[in-house]
Order: sequence, then structure tokens, then C-alpha cells
Amino acid sequence: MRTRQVLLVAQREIRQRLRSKAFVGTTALLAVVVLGAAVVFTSGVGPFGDQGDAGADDEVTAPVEVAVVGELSEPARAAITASAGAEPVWLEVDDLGAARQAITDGAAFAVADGGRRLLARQPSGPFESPVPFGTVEALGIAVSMEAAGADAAEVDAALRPVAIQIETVQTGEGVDAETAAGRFAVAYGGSFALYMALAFFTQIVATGVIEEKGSRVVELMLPAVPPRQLLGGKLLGLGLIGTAQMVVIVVPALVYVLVRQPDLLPPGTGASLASVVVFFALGFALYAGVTGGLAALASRVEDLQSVIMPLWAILIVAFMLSFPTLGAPDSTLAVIATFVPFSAPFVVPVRLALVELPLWQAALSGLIVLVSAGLLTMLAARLYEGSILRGGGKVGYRAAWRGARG
Amino acid sequence: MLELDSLRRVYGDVVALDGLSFAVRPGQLCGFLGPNGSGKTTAMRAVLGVTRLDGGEVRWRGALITAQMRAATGYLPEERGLYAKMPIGEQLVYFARLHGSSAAAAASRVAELLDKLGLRDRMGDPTEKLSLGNQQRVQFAAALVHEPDLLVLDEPFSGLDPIAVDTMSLLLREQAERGAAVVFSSHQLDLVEDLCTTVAIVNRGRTVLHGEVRALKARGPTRLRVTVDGDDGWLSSIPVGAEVIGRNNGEVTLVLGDDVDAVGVLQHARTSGVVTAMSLEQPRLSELFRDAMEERA
Repeated sequence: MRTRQVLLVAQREIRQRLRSKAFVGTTALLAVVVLGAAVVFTSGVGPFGDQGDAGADDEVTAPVEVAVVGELSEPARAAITASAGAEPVWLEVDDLGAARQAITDGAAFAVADGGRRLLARQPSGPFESPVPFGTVEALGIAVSMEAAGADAAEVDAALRPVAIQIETVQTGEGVDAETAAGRFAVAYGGSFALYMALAFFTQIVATGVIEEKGSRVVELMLPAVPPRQLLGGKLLGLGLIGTAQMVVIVVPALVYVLVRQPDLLPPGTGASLASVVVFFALGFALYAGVTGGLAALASRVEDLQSVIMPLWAILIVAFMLSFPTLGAPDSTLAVIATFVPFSAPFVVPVRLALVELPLWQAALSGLIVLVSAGLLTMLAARLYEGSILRGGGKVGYRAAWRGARG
Repeated sequence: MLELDSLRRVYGDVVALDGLSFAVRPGQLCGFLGPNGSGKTTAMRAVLGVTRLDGGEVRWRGALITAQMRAATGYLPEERGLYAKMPIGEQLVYFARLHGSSAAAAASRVAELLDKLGLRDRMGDPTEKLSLGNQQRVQFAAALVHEPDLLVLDEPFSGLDPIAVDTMSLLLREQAERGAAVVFSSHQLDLVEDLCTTVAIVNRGRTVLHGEVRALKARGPTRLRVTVDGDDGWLSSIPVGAEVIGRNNGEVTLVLGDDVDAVGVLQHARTSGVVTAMSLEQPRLSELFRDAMEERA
């Protein structure tokens, strides 16, 4: 009979979400956005794009203009040509003022003092270089070689080096270089999606608990459904609809990529995405369970923030831990965070996406989260039981704990 | 039979229930009366298990009330509560199913109840779109929707217009006729007198009067109302055992002790003038209530 009631409560939560136009609309919108991102990625733009396409684009662009103030030797001109890939249009100008005007009118940069001085356009962003990549180094080498007596042909030869092939040795540590871009995209996207989903659904749990408490409907429910079953049903319903929402958002994009360009995804993407869903369910059990207990301590929506703030702080810090993990997936911090229940939901999918995480580590981590979720939800259920019928302001932890049997 | 036996509940220094006892049989409508803060809500919550007891017990059919029985009880809490955004029809079906009804039985019962309450065409509306009076009707329906054997209603009539009161009274009578034990608290004493077969009057956590309304009234002191076209001089010489308890527009109300003869009192009245109206009545429930409160004080 109790199972039936837990299921009825869960069913109501699911139906209520499905009835909400905002919820359905947001889910559809997110699915479309993610699918759109997949379409953009597979079409060759962005980090997944084929670099060869980008080179092809350069051919159609007009040659760059370079202003020259005074004398500029052939070796220096050869250096600039070599680093630009093609001979630029040389604009011979009289002084720095004219060079500034030339740059304002569209020249890439100006060279003065025989190659020892460059005048450049202000870069468009904080990470942009004011002059094309390699120009400074090439010019520096040319000026030095010329001073040592080299001619233009020698400088040109020196600046067109033989392509060096780089190969990596697989040591079993670090991120596989060949699939790194895809792995980082999956890891970053996964942990971010997980954070958003956990934050969203724990918020829904908190609001749902406070609505039932605030509207007093809970007193009508309690004789028929004991507090733990009521909380359990709510968590089950919201957990299921949350997992379903993640699947709805991620699967269309995944299927699209698999059909269009199956080799684009790094090996193990399926497992990584599955781990995101599994750890969403586990993380939800952990965070939402505690949220349910804490939310019952408040009596009004206004009090809600202060009672769930400690948990939210933990959630944010745990999510932050996925950033150092992205940088160093095998670091001690990452390994420890794998086995701490609050950070595991964020760190494990990231590590699974980036490196070959031993399955036992993922399984043990999942087990730790599951057991912690069970224990903490039981504690939270006691707080819930002790405070759900107490109105008129915030209920203290001790009062709620003691009130559980009252 | 529902039995509340020596219920005791203490909140810090406040004794909310101090040995409160009474019983309600199946088919009975019991009015649960008492001033504010006398322990009615606490006692009802204790029946439903929403409040823990420090002493005493609640029994149903001779045994300690079980969680299953509590789950099957129809309850209308003092503080009303419904899901604001959920359609009322769906909401009532949900409550009925939580209380153990099948989906089909719940649906037909909800349709029937909403029909009786005049809310059939509002079935798809969320609670928040209903007037407060209509929300109250839905709340009432939530208590009856699973046809419970026991109904515990905390002030079901407060805030209702007279027509709604009549509708709900009728529904409550139907429940009792069906064999349910019904207990409800109220401050509307005349309504309780008309509707209930038994009453329990409590004060400061104790039962001060309990029994069948008819028997309690018969046992209470008789009231004599006399209107005399003349002065009030006769009142100074009324027999010992008769006491004036009210005067209103020339009508004098007296309480007559057991050994006082009403005819003797009337003869005194005639010494002052012509008696234009007189009646001999059993006490009203409201009068029994006031008497009970005064005795306790």
C-alpha cells in the first residue's frame, strides 16, 4: 500500500511538470539548441572543424598590405613574406604619421627602423596578437642573419624550415592528444549540463516542498502518506522526469552526430554520456534528498534561500572541482574528488570522458554516492518529518530533529 | 466506534490535552465544541496521527487506531490546503487514490460529489481560480471523496454562506446514514444542535459535557420565558430555585430548578399585570455550552 502511494506521489510530480508549459518549452528549446550546436560542429566550424577547410578560406582573401617607413632590406621583406605565406603589398610611406594613416586605412602593420620596429593595429580582443603570428620572430631572425652577412635567399631558406612531425608516446597517462578536442568538449559539456540539471531540479524539489508546506496541503496528505514516503515519492518523480529531460536534450544531438559523422566522436563518448545520466541520477539523489529535508525547515519561500544555502555552496564548490579535473584528470585532487560523494557526480564523468578511468573507480565512486545519498536522505527525511507541520518561521535543526516523533 | 481515551498532550508549559475523552459510534454525527484553545484541533490531529500523544489512546473498533485506518480516514484540517495549480477534479481523484480508492471508483465519486457541490463544470479549473467559498467546498469534498468510515472535520462550516452550509449539512447527514462515524468541531452551536446526534464539549483539554443532544437538553434545567404587560415588581418575589438569566424587550427568561413549579412562577407574574406570552423550553445547546463553561471557570 505504501509503495502504491509513493508511486502516486511520484506520478503527480511528473504530470505536474509535463503540464507546465514552461518546463516542456524549456526542454524543447534546450534540445533544439544542443542539436543546433551538433549541426554546427559537424559542418566543419569550431573546435571539431577540419583545419584544412580554414586554410582553403585564406586563398580567397586579398593579400595583406604592409606599410614600410624608410629602408627595408630584402632579407627583412623575405621574412615578412615567409611568415605571411605570400608576398604582401608594400606601401612605401615617408614617416610614422603616414604609417599610422596607412594602418587606419587598412594596412596590417607598418615596419620601421629597418625591421627593428613594428607599428600595429590595436588587437580586437585580449588574446589576439597585434601582428600576424610568427612575424616578430621571423623579422628578428632576418635582422640578426642580415647583420651576420646573410642574403635574402639564405634568410628565406632559413625561414621556410622542414616540417617536423610530432608523435606522442602513449604512456597511459594524460589525455590522448588525437581525440583531446572531442574529449574535452564531451567532458566540459557533460559537467556543465550536470550542474545545470542538478541546480534546476534541486530548486524544483525545494520549491515543491515549501509549496506543500506553505499551502498546508501536507497536513491533508500526511495521514494517508507518511512524511518519508511523501518526500520519497517527490524525489522519485522529479528524479525520473529530470533524467528523462537530460535524455531528451542530449539524445537527438548524439544521434545526429552518429549518423552524420560517426568518427567525429572520441572513443568512449557513449560511456561518458551514459555516465553523465547515471551520475545525474546519483547526484540528484544526494543533493535533492538533502534539499527536501532542508527546505521543510523554512515556512515561506523567503526563508528558503537561507536554509538551503549551505548545500548550494557545497554544490557550487563541487562543480568548481571539475575545472582542475579538466586540466589534470589524473591529479591527486581529481582522484580524491572521485571518492568524495559531493564532488564525485561532477568529477567522474569528466575523468571518464578524458582518460581511461578504471571501471572499478567509477563503480566504487557511484556506490559511495549512492550510499551517502541514502544515509543523508534518511537524515534529511527526519528533518522533513520534524518540521513539515511547523509553520510560523524557520525551524531550527535541533527542533526539527527532536520534533520528528511529534 | 471511535474512542478518544484520556488523551494528554503537553507543549512546553501548555497542557493542550488533559485527559480528554469521548466516543463516536458509527452512524453518529458528533459535534465537537469548546472555546478557542480548548484542545479540539490537537485532539483531532491526534486521531489522525499528525500529533503525537503524551498519554492516553485513540481506539477504533476497540483496538488502537492503525496507520491503515488513519490513511482511510476522511480529514479536513483546521488550516485548509489544496494544490493551487492542480485542476480540482484531478486533485480529488489523486486524494481518493492516495486514500486507497481505485482510479475508476475515484473518478465516478469525484464527478458525483462535484455535482452535488455545484462544481461539476469547474472540474478542469485549478484551485486558485475558484472563489474562497468554492475552495472550501473542494476541501470538504477531499475529506469525503473516498467514502471513509471515519470522518474528522475541523471547523468544516467556518466561512461558508448559509446555502453552502445547507449543502454540506446534507452531505454530512448522508455520510452518517451510510454508517460513517462523523466528528466535527464548530462554533456554530445552533447548527450543531440541528445537525448532531451527540456532542462533546471540551474546555482546557478536558471533556466537560458529552452525550446525546436530546438527553443533555432534557437533563438541563428548564427555561421559562414570560412576557408581562406591566412592571417587573413580581420578579422580587419569585420562588427559591428560579433564577432570572435574561431580559429582552419585556421578555424575561428564567431558569427553573428541578423542584420549582412553572405554574407557581406564572402566578407571581400575574400579580404585576397580564401575561401576554409564555413558553416553557428545554435549554438550547448554546445555553448548555455556556453553563458548562461557567461551571469549569
